[in-house]
Amino acid sequence: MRARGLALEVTALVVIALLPAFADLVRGSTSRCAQDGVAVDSNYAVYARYEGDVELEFCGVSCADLWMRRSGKPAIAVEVTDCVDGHRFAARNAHFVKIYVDWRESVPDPIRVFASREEALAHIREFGGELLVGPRRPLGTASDLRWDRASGDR
Amino acid sequence: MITNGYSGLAAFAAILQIALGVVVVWFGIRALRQRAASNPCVADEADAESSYYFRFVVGLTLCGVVIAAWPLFYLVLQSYVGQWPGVMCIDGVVRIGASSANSASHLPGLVAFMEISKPALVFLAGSWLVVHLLMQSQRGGRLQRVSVATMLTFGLLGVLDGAAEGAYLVIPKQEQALATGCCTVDSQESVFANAGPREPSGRGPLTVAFVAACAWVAFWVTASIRRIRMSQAAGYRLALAAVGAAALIPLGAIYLREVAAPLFLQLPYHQCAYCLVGVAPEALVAVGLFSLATFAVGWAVIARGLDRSNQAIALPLLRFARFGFLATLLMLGVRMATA
Repeated sequence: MRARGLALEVTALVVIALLPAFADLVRGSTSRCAQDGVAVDSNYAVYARYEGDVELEFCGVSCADLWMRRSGKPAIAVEVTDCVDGHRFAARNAHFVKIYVDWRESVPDPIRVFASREEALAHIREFGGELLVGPRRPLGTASDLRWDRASGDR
Repeated sequence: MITNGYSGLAAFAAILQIALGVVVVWFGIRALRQRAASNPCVADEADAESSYYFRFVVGLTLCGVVIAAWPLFYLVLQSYVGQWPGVMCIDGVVRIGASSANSASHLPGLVAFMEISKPALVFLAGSWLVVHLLMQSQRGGRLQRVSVATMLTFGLLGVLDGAAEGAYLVIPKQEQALATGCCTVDSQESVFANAGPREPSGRGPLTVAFVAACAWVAFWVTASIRRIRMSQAAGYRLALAAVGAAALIPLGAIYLREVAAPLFLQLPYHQCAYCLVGVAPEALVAVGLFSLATFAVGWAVIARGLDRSNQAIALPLLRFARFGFLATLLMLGVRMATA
């Protein structure tokens, strides 16, 4: 009777211990934003690389920007996703457009990312919005600032 | 009022809780008055016995309702996510109304009250049941005063908690909005105020402290089980287990937010225990087992404190506590290994 009880207890312990692994199998692998935990849409993803080969993924520019301001540690590299063709490129080369239309249903935040300045301006002409420059430009890192000063963009 | 399946069920549970709580309080007051009169006559014995069983059934039903109402409360909050722009999880829902000047300003306070009252009610429900079972086994009615006091406290808190839940459900909240998203508040008290790149595997001093405290309690619980099984006094062993369990309540709450939630969410920088409800519900099994194991130590202490010769109640409670702590540690270990 006592052996049976012990066997039951051990079985229950094993089942409970394996729950996280089982839940991972059922859930599959979904990328989640390091800032607010929502599922990341690869069309708007932002990637920040830190020392120790740690790469964080964010659902959008706003979350990544907030995270970087809060963490206080500068990222080694920041990459964004071009909203025109979905390719990844360095954030220092990006053009950020703040849109004014209601964005909540479809995209993670009101900031769109363009690799080309012409495309950013064309988007503003067609849908409205503003180009974020100077102190309002998001995702600034030390290397970005050096690049911006050198190019005279800020 | 936001109406959905969960809020409807919660409203029903709150009404039932208030009604049963009022009956339990009334029984408690009546028992006190009978004790004060202290002239029980033989003719009243049958009446007293039927009243005793009715009281037991009402108390037991209230126990069931308060136990079900605890997870239901979080399911209601989770079902409200998506009602407001910028609200990503329960953390945003609980802050709705914070900057309001009307009745909605009470919403965060009501949630804060219920986050404490719900587990306290579960503990009180267990305590009442333990005292009741002890009283039944003794047949002498020596514990009647303790039973009545526990019943009164249980009933009163049940009524208060039910009223708070009812008020929370009824207060209009849909027109309220967050000043910023639930994960984008700039307050220093934000759950992310201390966020920063850290050890992603969950290994750190807080984990060491938590695991050591759980192991401490499990060790002294096991030592107490041995003593009680041999019909000996558990004495200081049970007291040390109880001290450890009491310390584990705040430590567990901090550990859940700072380490366990990011670990189970697999987001090392996301310190939000509320997100577990929607993203990693399997972690709630560990949270539930840990909470009940901590309570079980308290219930065992009450059982042994009131009747040192009683093994039938304290032993299963202590065995469950040991099981709960071991299961929590194992689950954490597996999560750390696979993180």
